[in-house]
Amino acid sequence: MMKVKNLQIIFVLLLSVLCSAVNAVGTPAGTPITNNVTVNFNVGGVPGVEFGSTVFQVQEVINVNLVWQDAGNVIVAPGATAQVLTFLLTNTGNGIEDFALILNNSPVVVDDFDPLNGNIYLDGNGNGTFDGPPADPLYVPGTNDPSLDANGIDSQVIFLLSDIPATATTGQTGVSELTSNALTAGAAGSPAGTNLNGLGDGGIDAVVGTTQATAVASGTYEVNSTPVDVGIVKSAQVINDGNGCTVAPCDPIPGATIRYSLQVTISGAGTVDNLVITDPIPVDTTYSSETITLDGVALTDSGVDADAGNFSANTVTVNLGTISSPVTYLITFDVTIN
Amino acid sequence: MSKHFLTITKALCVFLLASVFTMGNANTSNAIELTSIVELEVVTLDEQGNEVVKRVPAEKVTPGSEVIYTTRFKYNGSESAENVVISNPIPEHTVYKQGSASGQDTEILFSVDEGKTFQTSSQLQVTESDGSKRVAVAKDYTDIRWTYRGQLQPGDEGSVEFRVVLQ
Repeated sequence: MMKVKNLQIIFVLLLSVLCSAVNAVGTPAGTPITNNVTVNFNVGGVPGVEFGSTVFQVQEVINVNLVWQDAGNVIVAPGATAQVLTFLLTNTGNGIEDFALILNNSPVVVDDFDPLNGNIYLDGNGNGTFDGPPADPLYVPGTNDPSLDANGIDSQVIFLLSDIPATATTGQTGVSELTSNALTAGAAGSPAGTNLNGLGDGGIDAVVGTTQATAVASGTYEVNSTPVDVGIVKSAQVINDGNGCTVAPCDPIPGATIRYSLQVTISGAGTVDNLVITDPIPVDTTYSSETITLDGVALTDSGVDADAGNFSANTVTVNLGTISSPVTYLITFDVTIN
Repeated sequence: MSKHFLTITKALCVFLLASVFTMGNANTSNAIELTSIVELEVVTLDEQGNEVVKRVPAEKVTPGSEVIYTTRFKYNGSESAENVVISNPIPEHTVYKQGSASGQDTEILFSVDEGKTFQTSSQLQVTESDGSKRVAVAKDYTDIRWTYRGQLQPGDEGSVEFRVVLQ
């Protein structure tokens, strides 16, 4: 069974790919742009033709974009170690560029604590989730600076891992700041329009773009000293009585369809590992096959396919996998009254 | 000199003259000298500090830049030339800038089907994938055609111009 979190990550990755397509940065650096002009004419009834042509090469523009990817403040417990903030670095120029990364856990912003012992990791396996080395290696400046091709693999997910002070209390926030600088000499921080003769791809000229070849993004940790907790609220509605009523509430007569809803709420600070929700079908009812949904998305009854749902031994099972708090899920399934 | 010889000479002369005449007509190569240039506009400050727009050769062109194409022509023939038509596909990776095509004494038409058909900009239509039609916009244009009104006389010069934005 594929974990729901993985599905979400794939979705996020797909979105990232789509978004980078939307950000299309223009004609690749070095592309020759050719103009061909033709003149046709007649002299004394005899046709003639002449041709003219010009060509220039597209200059390289150096631009960069950096975005904090977490949906909101990352909830952490006091004293927690190696807590992850996720960023996306994108080459928004039109060539190939290497980028240096700089972590600052004491940025000039209003927060309550400085995250400690920060390190930068690269999403080496490209799954958007921090898996630790060697899959996601430690970033070492000058050794594995991300090299991104604006016309190819143009983005890199980056993780900042820091520890949370044990003295931090619920509601307090701490900010980590990530800076990425284009590594072409003289690019980062120079005014837009600065020419870098011969420093573009393949020795063409480059120019500093509107981002000034540097980007900064911040991510925020928020402390919650309440330990992580899982809550489930179950409710039921008769959505069809098999006798003409098709809008809840219908009468719970034999043959009527009951829809059960399980609201799963993960709260507090931390991560829940291998969360599996199971719900046996009540006596005197029969499960309506292929009716399991998770957040409105249908899951199959089969236990051997990739999705999180399964129906077997008269029990509905949804495997939510490993989950970072806080988050909520809604599971539904239908039964009929015997 | 016999009459017979004279007749032959005359005939030969007529033949030669005719040949020269025909050659003159057929020899249209290099009759029109075409010069195509590509430029950018840059804003500079003059000595009084006023902004001056200046054209420079397009050497440093980045995506989003507006590029000016100028085609100059000079007619070097000895007789008038007619049906003079300048054709220019919009260069790949660029989009035509609406309203930028110009050329004195020319009728300017555009194509959205790579030069198969030409229309004025207001008449040009594009057929969508669902079969519906809409008025073409600049980014649909694939070709520009300038048709010179009247004839080019020996020594006549002129130019046509258009602008594109590099994608």
